[in-house]
Amino acid sequence: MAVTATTPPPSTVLAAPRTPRRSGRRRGDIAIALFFLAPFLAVYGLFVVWPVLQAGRMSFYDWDLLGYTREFTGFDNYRRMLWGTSMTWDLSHLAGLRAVVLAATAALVVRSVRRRARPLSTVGTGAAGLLAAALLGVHPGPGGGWNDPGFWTSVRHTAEFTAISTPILIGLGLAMALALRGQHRGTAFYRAAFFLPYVLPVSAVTLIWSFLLNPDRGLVAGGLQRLGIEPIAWLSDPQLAMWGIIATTVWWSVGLNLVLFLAGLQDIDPSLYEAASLDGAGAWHRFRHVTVPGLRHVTVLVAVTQLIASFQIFGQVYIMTRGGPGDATRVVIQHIYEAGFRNLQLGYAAAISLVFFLLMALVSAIQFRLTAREA
Amino acid sequence: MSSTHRRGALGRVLAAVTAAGLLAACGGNDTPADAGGADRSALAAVTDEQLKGATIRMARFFGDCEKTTTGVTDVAKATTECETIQILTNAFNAENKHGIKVERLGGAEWNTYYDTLNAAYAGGNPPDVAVMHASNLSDYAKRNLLLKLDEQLPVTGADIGDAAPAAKQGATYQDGTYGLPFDIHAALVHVNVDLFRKAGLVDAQGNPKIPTSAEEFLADAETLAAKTGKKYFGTARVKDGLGVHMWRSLIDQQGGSVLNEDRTKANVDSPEARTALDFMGKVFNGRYADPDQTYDAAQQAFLKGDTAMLMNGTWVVDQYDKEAPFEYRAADFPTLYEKPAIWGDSHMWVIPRQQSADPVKQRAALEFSSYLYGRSGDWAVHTGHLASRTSVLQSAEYKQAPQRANYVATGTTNANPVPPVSSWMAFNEALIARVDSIWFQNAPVDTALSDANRQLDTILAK
Repeated sequence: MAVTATTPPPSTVLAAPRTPRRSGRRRGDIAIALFFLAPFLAVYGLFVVWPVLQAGRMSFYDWDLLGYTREFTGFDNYRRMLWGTSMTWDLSHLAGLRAVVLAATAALVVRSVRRRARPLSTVGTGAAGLLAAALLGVHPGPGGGWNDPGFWTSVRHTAEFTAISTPILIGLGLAMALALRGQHRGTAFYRAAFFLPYVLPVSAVTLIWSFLLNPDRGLVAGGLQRLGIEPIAWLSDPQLAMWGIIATTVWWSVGLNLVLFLAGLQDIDPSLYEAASLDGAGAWHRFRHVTVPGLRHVTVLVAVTQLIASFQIFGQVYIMTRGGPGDATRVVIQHIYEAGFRNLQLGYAAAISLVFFLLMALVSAIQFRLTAREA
Repeated sequence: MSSTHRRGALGRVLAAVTAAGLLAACGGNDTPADAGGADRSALAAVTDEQLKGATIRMARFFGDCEKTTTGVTDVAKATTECETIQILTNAFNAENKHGIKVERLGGAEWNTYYDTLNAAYAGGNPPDVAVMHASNLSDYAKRNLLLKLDEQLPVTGADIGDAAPAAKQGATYQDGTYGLPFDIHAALVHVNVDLFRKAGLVDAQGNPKIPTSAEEFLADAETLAAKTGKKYFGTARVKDGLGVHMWRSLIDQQGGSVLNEDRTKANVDSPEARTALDFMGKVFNGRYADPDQTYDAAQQAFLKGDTAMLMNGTWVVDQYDKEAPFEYRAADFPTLYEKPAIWGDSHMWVIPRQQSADPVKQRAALEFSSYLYGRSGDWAVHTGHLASRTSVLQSAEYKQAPQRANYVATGTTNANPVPPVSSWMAFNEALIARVDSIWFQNAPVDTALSDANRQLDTILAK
């Protein structure tokens, strides 16, 4: 009992005040860290934080790129972007997408409960999912329409591009890395060849693919004709144009994923494969139980950065299709660019930028949370 | 995706608002709207001594061609738009009595030209003289960014009264003159006479029979398709505005307009608009015209002899006249309804207002603009565009240039400049997007036209 009486509980130990010596050393460390970080923080503040704050301010103004008068308009820019006429709500609107959102929400909540996550987090996830599903039911009723239908069109196309291109880029990058790992004859050449497109500028990449996909003179059309198939106007057909852009993007940027996955594969201890083989594991089981877990950190990195990169699609679209045919490939960054620099409506462009930023941050946070925890 | 798009997750997220950052950076110009003007007396008072050696910066598109034009001052050697304007600039630098020097700023492509010009304005450093489309003029004139020229023109003696009606209208904003027109450029039809002849669509003199009604157009299209297996008509509808220009022209030919009478509201959902859409739906059915051609594809099809009649601009007349491997004829766009009308625009020279006006540079810019206005005949003869001056359009010398006599009416009466409303670029882009949604994405006509009206009204209200 005497021991108990004289030994402070662990919490007391943790909460004990630091000695002046340790505290002073910590302050010194912080000062040194700030000293080394100062150049970065200055540049970051000037070119990232300040513009974001300024954009936030501009989004509440009718701010003309060339005009000299700015009128405070409150939430008008946001109303123009997110609202319309004769707006209504019903259960059946975007029913498929809402079902997916609800199913994903349910899965996340169940997972949180099983893992005994904090109740607030679980409730927050569920409430956010329900709110998103409810908001997806808002739409213009009969005789009405969105104030800026181009915004919603561009959001949809950006989401479609991201949803399709991201898994392809990750899956193909991993498959190519698996095929090219090890020191076999020709692997160095193929690694360099597959990475090479990534160093090209977007103008060169889009020029190459515009020629390739040209229905009159393109290599693809020539190949198809030899097979007895009529040339396809890839970039002029609203059903195919986005696929042409996805193909271009995959060719351009899959090389980096290949390199990242190759680096990740080299970090996996070969003895794990030997042990698995001795235990009788076949190729699939070695991949499933050794390679996949060993690549989790790399996969998280690739998935998050790829998702964000895909959201920012612009150069390929603007050069290859200008958002067409019609607005079949119009994407959000193009909409921002044209609103600000072509239509001179800087305040409105700033408002779209901020909403898009929040959307990207939200999706990235969800994805990071899902994948990073496992990693 | 940019090539820097994989440099760390946090940076990438924040890079999403790079556009916002750029926009923010462009928003800091606090110049008062009335700065930079100049009155007539200030420009007239500039002496020859002051002008001697004055250097002005010119912004233009039309391309780069330094290799073929350095030191050349004889415009007869010009074969392209770029060479013509560069040689005229060289000639001005060499010959003007004041000793003014014109330096060209960078940038050559017209489709990024206005982004560069806008950035220069936003940065408070616009050029001293700039080329501008009539369709863009109202956006700048409305914001008081251009020097109003009515009071200034007598200083150099430029006779704006000689400007062709379409060119003059394009240079005018709210009864003020803000530019000196260099040309009128409009859509024409470029005809493969061999195919017309093969289909029997020629008159007794062997001239191609241009249709005079929508019904005749479709009948001729069927005849030519049946007899030759080729397309009767073609134009660029994909990644280009020519298709929508055609649609708008057909509305104008019926006496309609995409705007109401006082130009304050859109009037896209009209019987005339539906008639034009219906007609174009019949034309671009795959048999008479390919519905999915880009500018390049439409041009190639014409030059290869697969299209009998191509709608394209004045700017290709000389090229087709030289390159077409068949008998080529340029002609006015057919009048299919009550009155002639075809999309037209105009290049003109404007003098941007500066934060701090320098009468010497403004006078020098006015001298250069007036010189180019005086040489619009040379520009037209060497580029295919229509001259901006009535006296030139009616001159024998102009009509003797290849094909020019075949489309004089486009310059004098038919060309219909875009309405002088502000935010025309935004208006036109929204219009193209909505009409394209009907053509390429099977959007219901009712929905697309009502959406267009709503969206365009929002733009016009700005």
